[in-house]
Amino acid sequence: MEETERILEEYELYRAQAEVYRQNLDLLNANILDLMVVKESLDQIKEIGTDNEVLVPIGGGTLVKAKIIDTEKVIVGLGADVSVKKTISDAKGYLENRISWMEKTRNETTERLQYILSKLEEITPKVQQILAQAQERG
Amino acid sequence: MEQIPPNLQHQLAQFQGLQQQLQTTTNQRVQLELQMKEVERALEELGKLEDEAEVYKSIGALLVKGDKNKIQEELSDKKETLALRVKTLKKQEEKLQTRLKEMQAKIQETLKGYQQRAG
Repeated sequence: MEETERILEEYELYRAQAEVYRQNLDLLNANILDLMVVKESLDQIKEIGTDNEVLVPIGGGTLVKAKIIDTEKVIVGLGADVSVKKTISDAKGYLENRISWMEKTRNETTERLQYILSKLEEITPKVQQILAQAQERG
Repeated sequence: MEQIPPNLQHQLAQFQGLQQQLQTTTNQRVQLELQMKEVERALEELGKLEDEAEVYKSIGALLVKGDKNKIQEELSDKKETLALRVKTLKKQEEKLQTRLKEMQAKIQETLKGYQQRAG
């Protein structure tokens, strides 16, 4: 009985862990994509220049016409409610570092998820056996 | 199916309550640890900047210009507070885990008692 409980507990634990790692991976992928888009936008700011009109979203699908008055520097969020003014090239460097850190974390998370999935694959036949036995007993 | 005796029902309810408490405490601790990492990363970035760097603090939807050194101090304080809260939550988790183990042993003993009487 104790062995059965242990197997079921282990299965449930791995299943829950796999779910958390999957959610983390989704989040990391979304963040990486977001930062890559920002990096590309930074490249375009200089090209737009200070004379051209741009449309700035203010939410709810609404946009206001504006002109960029500084195409050399941008404000970058560092996290923990703190932001800093950086040159476009420094901002890009900072974003590149963040992207590589996230890619590294994504690789580690993928490896960990694969390990958990292999463990689940290992336990699943045992769990199926337990369930079949339970059904037989009625 | 036989009904679960009230005594055992009570113990099981207590056990589940403790499990939930542990889950909530663990979630809180993980959240605070994430916040702490974010503060550490911001501090690391601020450390690389010159003193004259233009630094802003978010106040709601607004960004307000602030003094770099003052913001660094505030973040260091925040980090300390977070570390203290993480430590307290870890202690709470340990206590809850011990209580859960005790509770589990109690439940097993109760079950054994019923099984012996039934057998």
